[in-house]
Amino acid sequence: MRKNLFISNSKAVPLALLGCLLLLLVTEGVARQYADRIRSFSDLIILYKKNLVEDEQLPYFNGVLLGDSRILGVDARLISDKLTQSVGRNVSFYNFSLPEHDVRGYYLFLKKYLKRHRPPAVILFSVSSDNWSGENNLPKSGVFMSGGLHRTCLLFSMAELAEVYPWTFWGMVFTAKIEGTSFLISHRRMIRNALENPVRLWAPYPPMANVTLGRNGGVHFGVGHPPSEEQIRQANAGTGVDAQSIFWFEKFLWLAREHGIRVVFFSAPWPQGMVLNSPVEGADFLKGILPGIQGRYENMFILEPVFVTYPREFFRDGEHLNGPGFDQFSEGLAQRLIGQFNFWPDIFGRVLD
Amino acid sequence: MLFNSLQFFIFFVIVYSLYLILNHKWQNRLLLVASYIFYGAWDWRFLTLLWFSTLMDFFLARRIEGAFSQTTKRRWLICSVVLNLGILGIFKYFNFFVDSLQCLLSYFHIHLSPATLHIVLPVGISFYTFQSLSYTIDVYYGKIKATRYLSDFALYVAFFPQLVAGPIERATHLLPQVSSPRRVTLEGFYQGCFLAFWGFFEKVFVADNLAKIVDPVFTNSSAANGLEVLTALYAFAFQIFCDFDGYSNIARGVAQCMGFEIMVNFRWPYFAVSPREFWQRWHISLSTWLKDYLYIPLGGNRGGELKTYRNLFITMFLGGLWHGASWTFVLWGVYHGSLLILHRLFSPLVRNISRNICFPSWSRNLQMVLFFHLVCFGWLLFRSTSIGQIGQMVHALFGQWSGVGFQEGLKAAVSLVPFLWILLLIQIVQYVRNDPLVMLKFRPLTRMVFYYVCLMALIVWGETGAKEFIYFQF
Repeated sequence: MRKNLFISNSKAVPLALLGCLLLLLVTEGVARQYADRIRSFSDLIILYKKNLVEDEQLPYFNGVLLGDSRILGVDARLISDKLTQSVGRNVSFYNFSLPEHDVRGYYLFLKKYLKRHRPPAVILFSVSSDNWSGENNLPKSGVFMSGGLHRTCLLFSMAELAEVYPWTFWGMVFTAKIEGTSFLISHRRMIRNALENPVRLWAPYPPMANVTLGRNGGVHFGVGHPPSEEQIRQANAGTGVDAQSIFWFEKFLWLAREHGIRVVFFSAPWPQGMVLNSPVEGADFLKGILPGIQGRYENMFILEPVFVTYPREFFRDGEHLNGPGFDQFSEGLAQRLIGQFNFWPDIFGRVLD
Repeated sequence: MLFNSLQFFIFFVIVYSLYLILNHKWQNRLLLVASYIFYGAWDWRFLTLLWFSTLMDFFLARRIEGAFSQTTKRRWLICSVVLNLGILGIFKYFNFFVDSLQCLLSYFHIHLSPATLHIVLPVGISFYTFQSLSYTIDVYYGKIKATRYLSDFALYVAFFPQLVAGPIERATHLLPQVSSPRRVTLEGFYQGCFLAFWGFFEKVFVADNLAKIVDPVFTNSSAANGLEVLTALYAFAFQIFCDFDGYSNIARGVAQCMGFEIMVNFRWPYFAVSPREFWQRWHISLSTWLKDYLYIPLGGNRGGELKTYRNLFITMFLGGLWHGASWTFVLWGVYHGSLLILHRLFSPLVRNISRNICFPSWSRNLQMVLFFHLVCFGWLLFRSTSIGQIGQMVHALFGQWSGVGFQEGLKAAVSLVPFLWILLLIQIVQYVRNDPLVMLKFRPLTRMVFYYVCLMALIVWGETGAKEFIYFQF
């Protein structure tokens, strides 16, 4: 029946190809040796927090901050101190914010956390309006994909990812997971930067623990340069809120409720001068939809105001606060938390004189 | 579905796995269905257009062959030409001609608002229309017998490796391969994989990276200086070559894996020393098509010098227009037509001089460099989006060099080298040995290093996200 003589008609072994694959494996090994110097800051933080959350010895935290890169520098230690003073007993918060994740990622993260640790009493949750779209987190189609999905794949297994992504995205998720097995492919952009500037491979670098633990998971940032008009314009180009994200946010709230956790929703500031742009529209949308969700989940609280702006000198780019900006925001956040909600003594208990 | 996407890779693995276990009859059926899926992935509605072209030319070719008199044959042929070019005219050129007419009349203060068509250009329409049309013409001239099998002809028109951007195959070459059983060998598979890999490298590493140098200059042409325009032109010369040659190589490679042999579309065009030689090396399937079905029927070089010039001019004018419904493409065609005419005019003189004066051995290299720059100037016309932009770019290229020093020049050259050195090295070796598959004849150790360098370049510097091929718009 068969007319093709595909394998039997040649004895040639692709020696060069096999040799090349061997060379690639060696390169992969060498690149892994320099992994911490090659990985991006975001990846290092994600992996650091992944190890932390998977560590059974992690101390108990009364409160956890969960959210995207825009709350990465929030000083959880300061919030702990303020609430300790207010409540009159030791309260500890930890900032588990993860850059480049969307709502689905935080649902999975909470699930992972609750599997291994005692539930915290409260979660401070913040996802900026442009991360309410799962599309943001998906890479472009193509071989050697990059982007948010790779970051999500660093944290979760295929089975976990399949739970939150619709089946139409499973191919993409699977590819990203497969590509993630190769350090060369998944960190290609960083390897390119390292090769273009090899000095950084030999430069001393601070271990992640020093970077993050100083603020209970909140990252120390410098002052940086205030954002340009172009950066602000780019930051405004949000993609809007999708139904999937709302669905997984509700699942997040449901999971928290099942474990007796209160969820306080808050927003990170945007640079002043952002009027009539998509994050504002997104914020307006959130303002419109959040009360509806709040009506269904009594464990959800909204910290007002939902849309906050700060002067531009408090930003290091079009959307992220710099060091002084985060200091100011952390302080204000702690005050607003204490001022707006009276459940702290209830959930943390008060030490009576 | 783009060749440089994961979607295509999965598609091809499935199709190829099935292909290997089927017999010839079912292989053809599989390829036909796969080709329609491949094409329908862009926009399934345009499948009807593809089917219409296929059915029309299949039956018209049967009519031509079955006609008793030459007059009837001719009538059916005219019918085929008019219908094919009519489809192309409506979908590709209607809005262009309406807009141009409107513009012309407005000069005479006549203002019209004629209706324009709000349709997307069906991908690959110029390619498959020419391929299908060449079949009826070949049947008319008796070069090939009209096939009795619609499925064979449908596969000839829609064969997915070369459906959307060529090479424009001839029925005399491809149809017999469709009709008879093909032999799939491991050696052919290796060669096919290599061609596809090299094409992928040309597209993803060279062309897509060079696009990042070219696009900003052409997007903001009013602010560009002479050096930036020159750098962008050099970059575009290699971008368009690698983009199109990359596509052709992937097409040839994919076809070769399945036992098909598709014509070579490029033979180191930048080594050409004259416009004539350039068109024997660049987009060979189109240039030979234009020669066989336009230039020669117009009279070729048989009617004296003046008629030859006229025929060259018309052929290149229409060749330019084939590329797109824009005056910039027309201008590009006219420019190449003029180069061909000038070359024909002055080549006897140059030959005489070279006979009397002993040119040094490197003179061919000098001519190559000079002609390369003429081609680059042509790319300026081709890449510009309007006549106004051409004016801006030419002004910058020849007039805005103040403040440009050696350091800036060096920096510009250095920005191109990382993406070009592998390509240039391989092109030189291929050209010297006159063998596109010369890399497969290297020693295993050399090949191993070559594969490794290419793969690392692709992994680390290859552009992510499947970017469309430039020639898809034609």
